[in-house]
Amino acid sequence: MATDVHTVRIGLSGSWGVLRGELGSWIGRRGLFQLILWLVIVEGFLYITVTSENQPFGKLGYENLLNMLMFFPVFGGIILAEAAIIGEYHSGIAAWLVSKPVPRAGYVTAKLGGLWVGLSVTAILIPGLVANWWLPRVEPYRFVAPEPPPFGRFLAALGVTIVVLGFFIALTGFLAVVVRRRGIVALLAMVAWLLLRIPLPQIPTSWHRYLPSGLYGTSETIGGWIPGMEYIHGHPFNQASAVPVTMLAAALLVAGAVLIYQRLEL
Amino acid sequence: MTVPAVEIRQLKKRYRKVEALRGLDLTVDQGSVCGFLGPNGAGKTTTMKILMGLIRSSSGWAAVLGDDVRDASLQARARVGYLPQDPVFPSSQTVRSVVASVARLYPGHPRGSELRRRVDDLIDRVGMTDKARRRVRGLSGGERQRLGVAQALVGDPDLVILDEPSAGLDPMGRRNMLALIEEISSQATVFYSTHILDDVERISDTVVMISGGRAVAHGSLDEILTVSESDYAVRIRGETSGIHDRLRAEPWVGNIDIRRYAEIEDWRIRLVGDSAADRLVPLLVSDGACDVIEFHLSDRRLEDAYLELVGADDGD
Repeated sequence: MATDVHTVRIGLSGSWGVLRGELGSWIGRRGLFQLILWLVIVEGFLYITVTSENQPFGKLGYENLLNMLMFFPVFGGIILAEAAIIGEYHSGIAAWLVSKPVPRAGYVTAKLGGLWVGLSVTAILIPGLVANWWLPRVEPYRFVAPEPPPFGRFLAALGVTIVVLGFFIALTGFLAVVVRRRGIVALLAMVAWLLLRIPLPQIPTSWHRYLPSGLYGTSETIGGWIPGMEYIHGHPFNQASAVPVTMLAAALLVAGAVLIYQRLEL
Repeated sequence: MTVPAVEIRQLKKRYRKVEALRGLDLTVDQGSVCGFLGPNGAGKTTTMKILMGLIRSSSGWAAVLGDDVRDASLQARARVGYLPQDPVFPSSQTVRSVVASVARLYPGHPRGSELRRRVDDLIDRVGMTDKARRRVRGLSGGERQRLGVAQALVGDPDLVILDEPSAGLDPMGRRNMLALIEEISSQATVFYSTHILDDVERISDTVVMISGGRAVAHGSLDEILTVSESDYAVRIRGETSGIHDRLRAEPWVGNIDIRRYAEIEDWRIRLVGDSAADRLVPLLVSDGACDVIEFHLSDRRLEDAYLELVGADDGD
């Protein structure tokens, strides 16, 4: 028993060391670069769409924001998760790290978890909050909806976006340890994002209530407003059950990735 | 009784059609500096990767400091420092941050100013104080190697496994690396692989030679160098054909290797059997046609033993 406790202590220490390193890498130059990148992308595209006079999107500032946060950061997360797992596998950095007292489960979880936290803050939370500050002040939007949505509901919608990001990072991590080829993994994950988003006859609308797509699908896919939009305007959150299902699916994907990674030769 | 630093029994590893290890046996005692010698493709890196839990053996058993590498790999790794062949570190990190981040992976690691002091001490030991703030991408091959040693030592290991630590280093870098290994050996067991036989002779007290996935020689450096006490060196002058023929006819004479320098010949004579040496001297001096100028046990160098045991071909 003493040995088990000692082993657990070693494992936790090593895993926390990797996670700490991952989180630390988002503080400083890398984090600043990511933040500026996402601010430019999210705020830039949002500003262009809401100030456009020739299309109806200008009236839907918050829906556009949530749609963008379900797209740009998720695709960024897919590319970065692929690089984290496959890049380090091929470069030898993964082998170097797990030659230390770092359990492979801790390594995979810390890599994906660190990326999720870092990207959630720099690509979703901060750009979302910045947009929430300026959106009500931009002329076309103020004309349609004079009052911004309640802040708590807006934060909850960002939380749903973060759950979606976590799911796709986990999916990419799983595909990365199985396929281990850059480009193909990202492509597969992006195709999965698309397939869940578009209305497919094989997937009845009611099913989306229990699928990750229930959190980011289009109104045609899920038969109503995208959940975040519906929620921030005071409607009940019909797809709420998709949140725990998506989180569970993400956890299972990470567990699967860990199981496969245990057997990998580094 | 202390457990061996490394213990390997009948270790086998197969990569699809290639059998990298074919029943390797070896023991490295604690406190020793063990050179792991063998041609390219002999299985040195495979062995070290199995010890570090990076790959799994197909069969057999390996333990590091008494911990089975399959069942308790994490515990073993907490007590081992490892320098991989061609070490790779995050290119955007500085030398100091690489060493500090590795230090934080070990349970009970120092914190705050104590951690900084430990990291700076290690960087100083490997001679990189002036490069502590340099990013990894700006380091030369030799500097990366020294950084590799620093990060291998940061967990205060009982065993240090170095995979070709002096590969690719210039003569000065190699000399510094050997000095560093000698210094490390005062506090930890060192198990390192190399191709450079002079290095092994200089700093090792134990040698394991591997060829084709098996250990072909294993023991202290003295044992390896005197593996055959029946090798004698004879310097001889005059007409030697008669004595040569007489020696050849004796069943206790195994082999005679002859090198000629003008009127002098250097013979290396291998004898077979315990009492053969007692018969050799009377026979040599009985021949009046030649004079024996020198006679002594052959000075065997590691290179001779290596070429004899491993063969002159270089694996891959």
